[in-house]
Amino acid sequence: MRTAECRFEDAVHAALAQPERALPDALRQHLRECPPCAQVAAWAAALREERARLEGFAPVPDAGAVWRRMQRRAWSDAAAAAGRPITFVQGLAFAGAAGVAGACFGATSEWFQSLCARGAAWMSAASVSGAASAAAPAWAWLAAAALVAAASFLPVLVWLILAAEKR
Amino acid sequence: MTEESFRALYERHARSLWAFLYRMTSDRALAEDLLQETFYRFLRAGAAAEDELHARNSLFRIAANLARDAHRRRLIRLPFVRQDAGTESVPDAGWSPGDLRLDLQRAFGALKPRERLLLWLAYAEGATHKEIAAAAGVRESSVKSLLSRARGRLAALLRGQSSKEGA
Repeated sequence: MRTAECRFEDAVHAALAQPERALPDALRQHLRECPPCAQVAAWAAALREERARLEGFAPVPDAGAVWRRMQRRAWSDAAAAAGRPITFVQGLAFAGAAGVAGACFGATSEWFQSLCARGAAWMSAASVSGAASAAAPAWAWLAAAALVAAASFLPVLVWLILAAEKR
Repeated sequence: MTEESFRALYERHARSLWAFLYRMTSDRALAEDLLQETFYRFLRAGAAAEDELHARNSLFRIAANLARDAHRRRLIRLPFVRQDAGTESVPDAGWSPGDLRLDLQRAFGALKPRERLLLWLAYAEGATHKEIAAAAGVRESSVKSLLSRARGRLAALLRGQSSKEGA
């Protein structure tokens, strides 16, 4: 007979959960007659002994030391959590500053203005001729790629650097 | 939670939690680290220590989850883990071969984490089906059948051991 099918299973489980209480006679009799239930009772007794043995040995740290360690960790976790938005805002500010610096550079640099004028001339020529795939000069592609890369990756890079510094 | 109430909670549960975690992980140092992590997460969750039964269930649920995670990722990196901590075991002085406790200890190591959890809570801790369900994260109605299956596995492992010793 499997223990799962024994009608005393729940009663045996309840009795094993309170070993300090004396077993009722009917249950005691049942344990003598039902080998699976008797086996479970023997396991329970052995596991309780094992638990008592381990609890006697348990090298648990002092409560005060654990409390202080937890306070320190809670403080550092809170500081890290509070620092996250600050890092984000710093990254955003740096990206904004880079944008403003780029705009100033664009407004004052003759070389950059002539570069833009040449790019615009090429774009209008391409749209007039209808050839979208007109061969653009290599320098134009290179400049466009550099601008896109700088605009996309610079803020991310700054944010990563700032986050690494905070760690 | 005040330091005083934490100390009281810790004194009440630390040893039984350590015994449970040690039985789940078979590693003294890891059990100690998981014990501290358990209390830290309990505090961080803002759980009240006044409701004794609820606190105990919560602690065991957190500990069970941590032990399961540690089993999944043996190289778990927790803030409390000592880098020099190796796998240590509790001395088994006074145990003779064929001792049911020793046989159970060996068989426990071969069980799945959830089976270990169920059997330990049911028989070593004397937990009710409701408490086991809360700690294991399963439905209360499933506990009986899961326990039955775990007992079957344990019995098979113990039979395997005794046949090996007999051969």
